[in-house]
Amino acid sequence: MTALQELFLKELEGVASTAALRELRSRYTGKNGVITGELKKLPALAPHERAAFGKQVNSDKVFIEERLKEYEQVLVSKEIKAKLSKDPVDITLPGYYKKPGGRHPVTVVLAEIADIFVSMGFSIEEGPEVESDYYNFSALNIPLNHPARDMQDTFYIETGGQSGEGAFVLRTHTSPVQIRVMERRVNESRHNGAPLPPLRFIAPGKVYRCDSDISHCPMFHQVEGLVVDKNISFANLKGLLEGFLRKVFGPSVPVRLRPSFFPFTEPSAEVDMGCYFCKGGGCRVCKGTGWIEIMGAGMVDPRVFKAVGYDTNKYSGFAFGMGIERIASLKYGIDDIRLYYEGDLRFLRQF
Amino acid sequence: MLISYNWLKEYIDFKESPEAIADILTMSGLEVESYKTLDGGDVILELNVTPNRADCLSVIGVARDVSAVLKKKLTLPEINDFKSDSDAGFKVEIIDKRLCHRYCGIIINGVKVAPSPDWMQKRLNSSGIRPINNVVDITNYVLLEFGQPLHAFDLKKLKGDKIIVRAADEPEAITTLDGVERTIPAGSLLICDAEGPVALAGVMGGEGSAVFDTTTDILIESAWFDPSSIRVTSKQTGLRSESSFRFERQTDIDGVKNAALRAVSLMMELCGGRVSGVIDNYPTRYEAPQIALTREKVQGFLGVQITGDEIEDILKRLDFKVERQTGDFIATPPSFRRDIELEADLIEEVARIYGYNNIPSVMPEVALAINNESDKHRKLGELRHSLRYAGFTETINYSFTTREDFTLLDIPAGDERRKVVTVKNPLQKDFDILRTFLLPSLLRNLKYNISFSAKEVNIYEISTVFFETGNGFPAERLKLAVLSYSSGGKKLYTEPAAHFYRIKGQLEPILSGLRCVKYELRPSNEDFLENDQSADVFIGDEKIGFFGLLSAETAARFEMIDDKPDIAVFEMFIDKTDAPIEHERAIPMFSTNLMFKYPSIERDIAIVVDDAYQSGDIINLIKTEHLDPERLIESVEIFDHYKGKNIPEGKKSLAFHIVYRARERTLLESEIDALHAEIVRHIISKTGGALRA
Repeated sequence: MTALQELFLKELEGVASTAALRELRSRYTGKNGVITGELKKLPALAPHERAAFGKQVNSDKVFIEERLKEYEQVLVSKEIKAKLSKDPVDITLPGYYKKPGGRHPVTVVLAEIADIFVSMGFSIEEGPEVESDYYNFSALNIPLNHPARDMQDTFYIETGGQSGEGAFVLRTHTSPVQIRVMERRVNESRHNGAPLPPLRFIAPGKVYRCDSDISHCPMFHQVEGLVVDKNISFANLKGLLEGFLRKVFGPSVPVRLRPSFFPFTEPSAEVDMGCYFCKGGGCRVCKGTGWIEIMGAGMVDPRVFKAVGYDTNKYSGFAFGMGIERIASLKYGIDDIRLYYEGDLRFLRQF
Repeated sequence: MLISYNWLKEYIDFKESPEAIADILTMSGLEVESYKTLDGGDVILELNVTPNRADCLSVIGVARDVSAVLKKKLTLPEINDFKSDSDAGFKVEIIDKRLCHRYCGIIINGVKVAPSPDWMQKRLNSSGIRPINNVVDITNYVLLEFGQPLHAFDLKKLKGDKIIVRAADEPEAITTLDGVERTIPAGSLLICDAEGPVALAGVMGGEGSAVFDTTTDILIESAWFDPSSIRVTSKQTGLRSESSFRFERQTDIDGVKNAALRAVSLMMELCGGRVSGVIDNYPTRYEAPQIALTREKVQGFLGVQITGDEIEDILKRLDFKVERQTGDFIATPPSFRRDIELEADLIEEVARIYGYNNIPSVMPEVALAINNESDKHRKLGELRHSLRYAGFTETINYSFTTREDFTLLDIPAGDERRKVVTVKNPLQKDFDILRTFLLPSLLRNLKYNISFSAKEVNIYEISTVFFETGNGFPAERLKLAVLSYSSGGKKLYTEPAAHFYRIKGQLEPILSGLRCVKYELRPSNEDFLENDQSADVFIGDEKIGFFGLLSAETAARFEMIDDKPDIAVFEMFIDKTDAPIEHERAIPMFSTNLMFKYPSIERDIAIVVDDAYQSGDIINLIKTEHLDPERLIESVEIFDHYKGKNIPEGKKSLAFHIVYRARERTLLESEIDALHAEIVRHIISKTGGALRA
């Protein structure tokens, strides 16, 4: 260690702040600093001494710069620590962030249903919420003046014809999408000459019924499903719907189909699942039966295929429909359907 | 429909408990919704009979189905065929043979009207029908038993010894049994005597010819009326009865006379009297369809290995006539099964008796295919996701609203939003139109939450709105509306931006998420927004939305008065941006040209200008093309916007950070100094502003 280095180290020991360090740095390595002063001695030296002296000064300079840099890091950390320790955090205070909003339970359940069907290769289709009488009823084998029209209390729209088949309605179900998609496929097929491709889609959306109480709202959501291909059977309908319900409600949930009536399916089925609440023991929700009605389904009625121009000798299919609020209510134990439409954040933020 | 368990047992000898019968019925298509035990030990089953199963709107109808499932013999009540060659001088004339296919009338003289026996009253009561007198009760009893509506006239009150069945040519008046004088619309089927209407066919009898205590001679009517005609009349008059309910679902035309005779048998037993005339006018004969079916079709359609014998057996148990050649069948349904028309209907019959539970569950096998229809669903999912993590909660409101919205929000006459779709039969008066915009719903949501002391309300809705087009289908458009409210209460951390900029900060990422870049903001002309705190969003000349602070007056109209109303809103169409949400827009190819490797030079500029200038104006001046022909400006960002101390009244200070970069070379400090100075001079000369000291 040279004398200069020793001197520097001694001075460095006395430095306690970054400001003092800056002063020391300037005094040693600055324009008019010690190192520059040493180098100025160079011309006065004998030529043979110059190389060794130059080398010496340079190594002093490197030594000093390195020590300065090292010590600066120590001092900076020290100073930051000192500053922070004066203002310690309260680790129990909430973090600063935007609290995520709630999802609407209908959206949550719809997304879950869509995921299940999309994963099986279904597409998602849509149709208008204001429908013509034809799409909502007639094409679905619900003729005018037929008691089947009593199954759905209908809102009529002041446009088009006053009543009958020229009338427009707020769609009472998502089933008209079946007709619209099949019609579109038939038209495409006529256009490009290709055979009718297989169909498998779901159609979620709002539907409307002229009805309001604790279990009915004038507007709610349904998901319609349709599978059409060669050799589609009632056994396939059972297989798919059982698989679907077990995915939504758990692998061990009992599922049963029983005969029912929908004008646009034949055979028709009401799909029940074992009561989610009492596990079949009988409770208020299942009216003591141990079963909960969860979907309607059936094989596409040949009268519907006829309306859209599908050859029933070649194709068969099944359709199903379910109410989203009903599924959400069962999943989350919501007992008043009106909660879905009040916009109460205390409700919505729970999802 | 209510069905007595004991009554059911009269026709079939079974041992099954009421619970077991309820289960059998439910699993074969007649859902038992509930059952209750009566004092006497009988059990009443409440059945939900679907509209296709008119044949099950009777005890015998239900018994037939039970017998088919249990494979047990059905024992029907014994009926005397009161053969009478005489029509007793009474005539039945069917003028409208299209609406009345069969009319059977039986005349009984010398009946003694009295209360019906206890057992009959009990059965009527437990089925929901009020007992009146023995004659009327018997007609109702047979209605419950066979499902065939009957009517008893007081013969002496019928004028001219005749019944005429005709449709009303013009509106006609009749006082029905319930004492109400009604005007019957033209086209309705009427039962008339020589002078005029005595009953509204299939719906309700007339008061003038009703059976009373003093009645001694009666005419029993059993007929078949056209279902949709009865339904139209019932709807038009608002009158529904046990009779109309059955007629509109189709009754058993071949059972018409049998039911009348059953009633007569009961009357002989309970009311006395003698049959003096039997008239059966059956001009429009029913011919059952013959429907072909193959075993292969049943097997393929149901996905089950059912045998030809099983199919034949099931159809026969259901009273079908079956002709069979090994696997080929021709089935003829019984006259009470008018719902069976096609092969698929037969397959359903086979399936429901075979048991849905006995059909296996098999996943369908289908070919893979590319789906394009799901893109919109996915994009909406992303939109909801980003709004959620920006702190917004989704609400869904009814599509219905009221015209009051337009007054509350000062929507001018002629505005697009006033082109509403009207609901003909609204549930309530303030639900009589469909929404054309979502903001009023969100404001009501806000008000509702404030009533529960909410201090912060951040909500959104994505829904369809409807515009009247004048020709049939309305235009349906998809909208997004967002509302952000803060009560201005004390907060732990201070918000970095004023409310206008916060709502704008929600809007901008949404627009870019929708790949909508070519939009333009203009000062808003919405009267419900604060003038200087709002903007409209345009794409070309089409206004797609608005955003800003809700005006204090509007807030007050919604009864949300606050010292410092702080309600920011925006609403826009999301189906018609320059990249419609339905389609994925082509994304430009990745390019290394956008990842320049030469170093940048950065400069700031702070300038004091008149308040009238907006930051966008200055940015446009900075980007003036002729000053920078080489396009060295890579980006311009505002980093300060200041008014107040040290800045003269009416002026503001704006500061921008400019990044300069050349694509093919390293920039020289000197050339950027020159360019930057040029830009500064340009801004100063254009705005009359000054560099901030």
